[in-house]
Amino acid sequence: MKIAGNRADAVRAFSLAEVMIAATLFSLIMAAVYGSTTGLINSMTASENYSVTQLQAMDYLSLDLRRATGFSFTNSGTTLTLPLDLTLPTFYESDGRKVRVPQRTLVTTSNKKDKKKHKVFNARYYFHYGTLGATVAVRYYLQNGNLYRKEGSLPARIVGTGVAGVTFGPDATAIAADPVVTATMTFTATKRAKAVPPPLSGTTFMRQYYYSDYN
Amino acid sequence: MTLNFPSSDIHCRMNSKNAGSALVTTILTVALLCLIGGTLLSLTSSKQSGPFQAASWHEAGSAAEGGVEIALNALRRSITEGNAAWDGWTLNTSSPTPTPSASPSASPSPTPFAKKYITESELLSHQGEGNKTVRAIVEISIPTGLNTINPSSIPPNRYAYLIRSTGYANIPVGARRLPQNKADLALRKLNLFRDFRTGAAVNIDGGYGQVSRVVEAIATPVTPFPAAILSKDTIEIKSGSGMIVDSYDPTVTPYKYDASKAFGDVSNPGAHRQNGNIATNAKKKNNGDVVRLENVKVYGLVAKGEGVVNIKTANASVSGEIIDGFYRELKPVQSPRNNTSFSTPTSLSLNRPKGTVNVNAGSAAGSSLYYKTDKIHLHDKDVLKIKKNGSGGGTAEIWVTGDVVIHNGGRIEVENGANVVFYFEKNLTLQEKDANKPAVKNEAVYATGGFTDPTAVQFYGVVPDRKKKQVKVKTNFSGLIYAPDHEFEEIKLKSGRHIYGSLAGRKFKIEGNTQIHYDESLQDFGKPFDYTLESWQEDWFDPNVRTASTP
Repeated sequence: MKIAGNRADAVRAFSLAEVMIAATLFSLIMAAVYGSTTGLINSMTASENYSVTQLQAMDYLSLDLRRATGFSFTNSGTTLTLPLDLTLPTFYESDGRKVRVPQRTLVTTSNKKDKKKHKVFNARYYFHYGTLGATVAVRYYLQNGNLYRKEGSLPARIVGTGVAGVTFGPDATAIAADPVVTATMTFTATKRAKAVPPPLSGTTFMRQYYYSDYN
Repeated sequence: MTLNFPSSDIHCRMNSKNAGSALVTTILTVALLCLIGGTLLSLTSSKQSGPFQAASWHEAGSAAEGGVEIALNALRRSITEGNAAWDGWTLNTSSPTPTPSASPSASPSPTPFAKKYITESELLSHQGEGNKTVRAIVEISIPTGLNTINPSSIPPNRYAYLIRSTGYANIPVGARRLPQNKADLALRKLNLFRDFRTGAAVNIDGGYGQVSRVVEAIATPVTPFPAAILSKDTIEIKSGSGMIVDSYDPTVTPYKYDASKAFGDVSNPGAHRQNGNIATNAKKKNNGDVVRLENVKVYGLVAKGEGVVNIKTANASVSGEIIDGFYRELKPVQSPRNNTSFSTPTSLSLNRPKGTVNVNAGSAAGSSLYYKTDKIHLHDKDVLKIKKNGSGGGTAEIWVTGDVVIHNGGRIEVENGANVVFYFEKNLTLQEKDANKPAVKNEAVYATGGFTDPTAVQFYGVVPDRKKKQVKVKTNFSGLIYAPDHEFEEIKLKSGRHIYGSLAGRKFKIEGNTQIHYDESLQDFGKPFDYTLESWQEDWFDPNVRTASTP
C-alpha cells in the first residue's frame, strides 16, 4: 500500500536529532540558569551575612564606643581584646527610654577628677546625665562564637554570630591620648557563610569620651 | 493497490497532534523558567533588604551628625553675625526656657530656641540603588533652672545649648520588610509603618519606610582666657631674670605673690598654684622651637601643636606636663562694627586730653554704656577714669578705631564697682612711668577676697584689616588682653611688677623680670569667641532587653 503524496513526511514527529538538539539547548539554558541563580543567591547570602551579622556586630560596638565615657579593654599580651567594658552615661530614666535632662555641676575640690590624658586644661564644669558619677555598664564578650552585649544586670543579647575574635588598636596609651579605636573582627565559617569571611575592621572616634570631662 | 486518502484529513489530524504537544511543552518550559525566576527574585530581594536597611541606618546617622554640625556652625556664626546666623531657622525667642517632655525619647525641649528642617538638598544626596536622600530636623534649646545645664548661677552669655538632631533616611520599597534577626531589628529600629519615637504614621511618597537616628549634644561657649598665655604662634620667654608664670584661685586663696609660701596651701593666703599654663597652636617641623624658655619658672603645663619646648637655661623649668597636638582656633570676638549696641555710641575725645576724662560705666550689673573714639593717647596728668554708676557692676564698652597708647605717666583708672572693655583696632601700648605711675590702675576688688579683680579691665583686639598689629605691656597690670591677631612683641616688666590676669595673642616675646599670675577663675570668663561640644550621645536603647527586664 502506498500513501499518496509526501504529506506524512511533512507532519511527522520531531526527529531524534531535533530532540537531542532541543534537549541539549534546554540543558545548557538550565545549567546557565542554575549557575547564575546559585551564584546570585550565594552573593546575596554573603551580602546579607555581611550586613546582618558582621556589620551589625561592628555597628553595635561602634554605637557604644562612640557614647562611652570610659572603657577598659582586656590585655592579651600586647593585644587589646574582649571582654570590653564600657561605661555609658545614665542617659535614660529608670524606664530605660525616657531621656534625662542633662545637668551642669561646678568642679570643686571634693568632686574633682584627674583630667583625661587627651585634655589640656582642667574642667570648670562637668556636664552629665543623672547623678554625677552614675554610669551604665556595658560589656562585650565572646562565647561559643557569639558576640554578646550585656547592659548592666539585664539579659545579654547576641549581637554577632560566627565571630572568631575581636581585637582593638592601636594600643592603650595611644587610645588614651587620642580616643580613636580600630576594632578588627575575625569570623568562622558558618552555615550561612560556608567560606570564612574576611576580617572586618571599623574605626570609631570615641566622641563622648573625647568631649566629656568626667570619667 | 493504491489507497487514496483525503490528504487534507491526514495532515490536519497529525498536524494538530504535534502542535498540541509542542505548545504544552513550551508552556511547561516557560512556566518552569518563570518559577525559577520568581523564586530567584524573591530570594534575592529578601536578602538584599538587609544591606539596604543597614546602609540607610548609616546614612541616617550621618544626617544626624550633620545636623549637629549645622547647629554648631549657626551658634558660632551668631557670635560675630548676630541674628543673621539664624536665617533659615525658626526661632522661638519668646520661650527660651523649655520644660522637659514626658514622652519617651522625645526631645526634652518641646519649645526649642531654634529649629531647622534640613532638606535633602542641604545634606548628602546621591544616585544609585537603595536610599538616595537624607534629611534632618535639628532643635536647639536652652534648658535653664535647677538641675539643668544652665542653673541660676550661669549668666546668659555662658549658657550651654542642648542640640537634638534627628537624621532620616528612606528604606527602599524593595527593602521594606522587617529583619528576621532580632538583634538587627533592635539595632536599626526601622520605621516601616510608624515612627517608633512619635507613633506617627510613616507616609512617604513612593511607599518608602524610613529609619531615624537621634544625636543629642551639649554645646558651650569657648572663652578667651583658659591659660596664662595662649598663642597662635611661638612663645619666647627669655633674656630676663627671675621670671615666673604661675596661678592663683581668688575664690580659695586671695593672692598676692609671695614666693616663700607653699603651693596650693589653702590655709595660707597668698600661696600660689601650678595652673599657670602656657599653650600655643604653633607647629614647627624638624625640631624647631615653638616655646623657648630662659630664666623663667613655669608653674603649670606647656601645650603645643608640634615642635620643641626648648628649656634653654638651667634655671628655667616647667612644673607640669608638656603636651603635644594642642590646637584651639583663636577667633576674634564680635567687632563693634557688627554689633548693633554700638550703633549710636557716645563720642569721646581721648587724644592727649590734658586732664581727667570721666566715663560712666553701666548703672547695674550686666548693663553697659557704649563709647567710641578714634584714639586713646594719654601722657602724664592724662587720666581716663571709669566711674562706678548707680548700684555698680556695670560696664563701659569703648570702641577705639586707632591706637591705644598709655605712657609717660598717663593712666587708665577703674573704680571699684565699675568695669571697662576696650575694643582696639590698631596697636596697644601700656607703659608705666615708674612704680608709682602704672599705665593701668585697677581698683576693682573681688567681693569675697578683697584682692584686685582683673576682670574689671578687658582689652580685645578687633583688627579690621590684615596689617601687622602689636601689643606692648611694660607696667603693673591687673587685667585681660585677648588679641589673637596682634603680636605681643614686648612684654617687659621691671623687677617687682606683676601681671595678674591672662594674655592671648598671635605671638609672644616676654623679657625683663616679668611675672605673670593667672587667675584661675578666668577659665570661664570673657567674651565667647567660639562654641565647643561638651557631650555627645546617641539616643539609642535596646527595647527588647528593656522589655525583658520588666516583669
